[in-house]
Amino acid sequence: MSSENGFEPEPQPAVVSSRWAQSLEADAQSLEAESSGPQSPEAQSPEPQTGGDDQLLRLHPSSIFFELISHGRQFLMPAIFAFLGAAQGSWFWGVLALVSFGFSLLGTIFKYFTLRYGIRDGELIVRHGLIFRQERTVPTRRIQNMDLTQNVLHRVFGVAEVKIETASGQEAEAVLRVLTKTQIESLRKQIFSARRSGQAVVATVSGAGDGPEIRANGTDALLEEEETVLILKIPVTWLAAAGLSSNRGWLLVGIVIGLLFQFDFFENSNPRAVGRFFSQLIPNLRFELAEIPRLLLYAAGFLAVLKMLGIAWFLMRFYGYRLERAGEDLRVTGGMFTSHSATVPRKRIQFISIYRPLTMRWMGLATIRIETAGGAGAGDEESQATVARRWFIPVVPVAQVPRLIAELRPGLVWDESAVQWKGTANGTHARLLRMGIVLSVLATAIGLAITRPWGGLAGVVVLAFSVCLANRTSRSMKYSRTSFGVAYRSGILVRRLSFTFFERLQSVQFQQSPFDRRWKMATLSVDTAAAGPAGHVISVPYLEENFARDEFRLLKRAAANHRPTWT
Amino acid sequence: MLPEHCETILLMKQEAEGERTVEPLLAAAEPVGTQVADGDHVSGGEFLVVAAEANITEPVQAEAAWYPLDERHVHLERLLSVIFGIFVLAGLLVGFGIWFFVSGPSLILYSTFVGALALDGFLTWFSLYWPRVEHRHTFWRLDETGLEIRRGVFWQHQISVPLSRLQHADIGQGPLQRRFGLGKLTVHTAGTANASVELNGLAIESATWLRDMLIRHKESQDVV
Repeated sequence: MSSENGFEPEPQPAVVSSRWAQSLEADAQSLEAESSGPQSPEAQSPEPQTGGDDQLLRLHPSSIFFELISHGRQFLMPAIFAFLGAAQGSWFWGVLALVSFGFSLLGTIFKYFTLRYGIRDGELIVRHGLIFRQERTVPTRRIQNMDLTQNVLHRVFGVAEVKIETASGQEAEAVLRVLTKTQIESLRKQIFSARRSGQAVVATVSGAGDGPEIRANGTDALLEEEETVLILKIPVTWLAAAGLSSNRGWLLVGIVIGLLFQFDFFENSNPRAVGRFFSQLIPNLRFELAEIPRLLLYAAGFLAVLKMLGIAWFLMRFYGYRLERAGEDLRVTGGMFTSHSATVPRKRIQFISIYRPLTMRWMGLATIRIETAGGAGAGDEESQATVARRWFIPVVPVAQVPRLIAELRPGLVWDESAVQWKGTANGTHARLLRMGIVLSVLATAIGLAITRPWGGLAGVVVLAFSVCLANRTSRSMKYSRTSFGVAYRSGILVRRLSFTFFERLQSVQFQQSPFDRRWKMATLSVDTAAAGPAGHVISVPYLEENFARDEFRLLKRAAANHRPTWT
Repeated sequence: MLPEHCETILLMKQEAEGERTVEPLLAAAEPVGTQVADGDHVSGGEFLVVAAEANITEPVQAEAAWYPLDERHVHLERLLSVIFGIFVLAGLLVGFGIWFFVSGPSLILYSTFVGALALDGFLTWFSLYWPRVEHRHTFWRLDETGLEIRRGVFWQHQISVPLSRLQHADIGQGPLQRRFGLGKLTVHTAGTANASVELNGLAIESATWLRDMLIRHKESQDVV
């Protein structure tokens, strides 16, 4: 909501053209320098390169290369077409692909030469284009996160990709691809010092509305020196344990299967051959006593491979993980080949989730996820950009959770046993059970319709499953209103505990379906600005109707009484 | 004026809900615009600040009154459904006419024609009836915490947007709504699931007044 982006109406052609010439010269030099090999970052130290336009800077020359790579996927299909066409002796597609590639190369080079970025008057400015000049202005106060990604190629050039995020929407507000280390450091300093000075103003103006704890922190932040405190380092052993307990391996198996589909492995193979393969496979699967050990061995081997893959995933993503705090900003770094670093101002944390899957519980480990407003929503679970928040603290012993929560939210003493949980309404078990019975009757009918005697088993399976589920579900869901906000706990295998704060509530909702009314129950939900649903939205079903109604009123009042303190 | 039946409905509802009634549903029999504009019920009593204790007893006091949507909204909805029903009827006539001229009279043709007419008639009747039912189940109010909206016949929900969370508010008006003097108020928050909350079918004066109230209450302080 904070970006004003638009066209600058009068680009003043004379000035622009002279600047254009200058920068061309400058770039020719730096390109020459570049061709003589990767060089130290100091050589491209950020200096004002355009006289009149104070501190606006240019990206690193290798940007052209990385920009092309990032658009590489668009060329994949034309390239494949070209290749296939060439194989058949027709050069039409090849020429077409080359032309489109040429255009894109020109566009990228043009963008590189015209793009300028910098901080001016407390605003981040990113501008590109010559005739249609696009300029994006982001007030530094609004900047939520600054994410860095550095893969192996980036490392060769000593550069990294920078993403600037605000609370708005799903996309990053600005992507600077790519900057040198020194450029990044100076940009970071500029952004966060500009923001801090802005913060000081806000803190002094709006003291009255804040709770005492928050105000105290605000002043702390002003007094505090810019020193980096190491909060957490994750040793390889924890990562291995997390990998062992996770099901990440399945993901890689899924990717392999997906790739096989992609390359038409299944379609291309002769259907008769596939049939033969299966008909040979199935007799082998008969339950012969002699076969069982071998099958077990296979299964164990498969499982071992899965677990190894899981461990590999965790090591790849989080090797060398460090959580640091500089003033009020939390900084996460980690990753083996592609190292990722994200800066999250801790005042922007909207939502904290503690994940404890079954196997992690056995090992006494937990994962802490956080949500900030904006940014994180776009990608899925795996995407590089969301990793920093979805997997904010990928694995940590449960004993350390309170300490880390206190770092995330200063002043918060997190004691899980002290939370007064309110469970679901009394009738929940009966209600879920009844639903299960209805479902099992349906399943029986469908099963019998398909095969006569044995189809009925489906109903039995559904019934057994739903009895178990009803019991566990009704006991696992818990709600609590604490001194700072709302907490919600749920999950049978993966136990999730999330909480948010009164000043983060954007709206409160009370819902009742006809079934709810019949059972005198209701669903209570709260909405926050956390963009990526952390897989755990605070929406508590099966609460007692009157309790939910009272809570609804108390929550809306609490939300109104706690002023949002975002900056 | 609040139409009479609204008042009766409110009273009936109050009786039906008996002691469990959380909101005393006292519908003020005054024009929505002016009565609310005085801000009478906007200044509620004192409320306990909800804080640390898990068990809070709530101060007993009258809460702000609920207001229904404008009566004209029902008429507009009905008009729209009549127009739609006529279009469907015209379509049916044309379609069956073509069928008749192509394949001549037959029993199947007549029976399906009657069936289709009956279905169209039923749907039109239902869409004449339903807006009234919806109207009886949609209310809004503004109290010292913020805007609260309550709606839904079978699946009911009640949402509260605190004043300080308001990002901006829009008023929209379609051509027919303009003719009927109605408007749609949309309230935006920084939230995700309920990032915008709509209140469609207010009298345009009420909508404008409500927007002005909301904007006035919104502090100059940044929310995001």
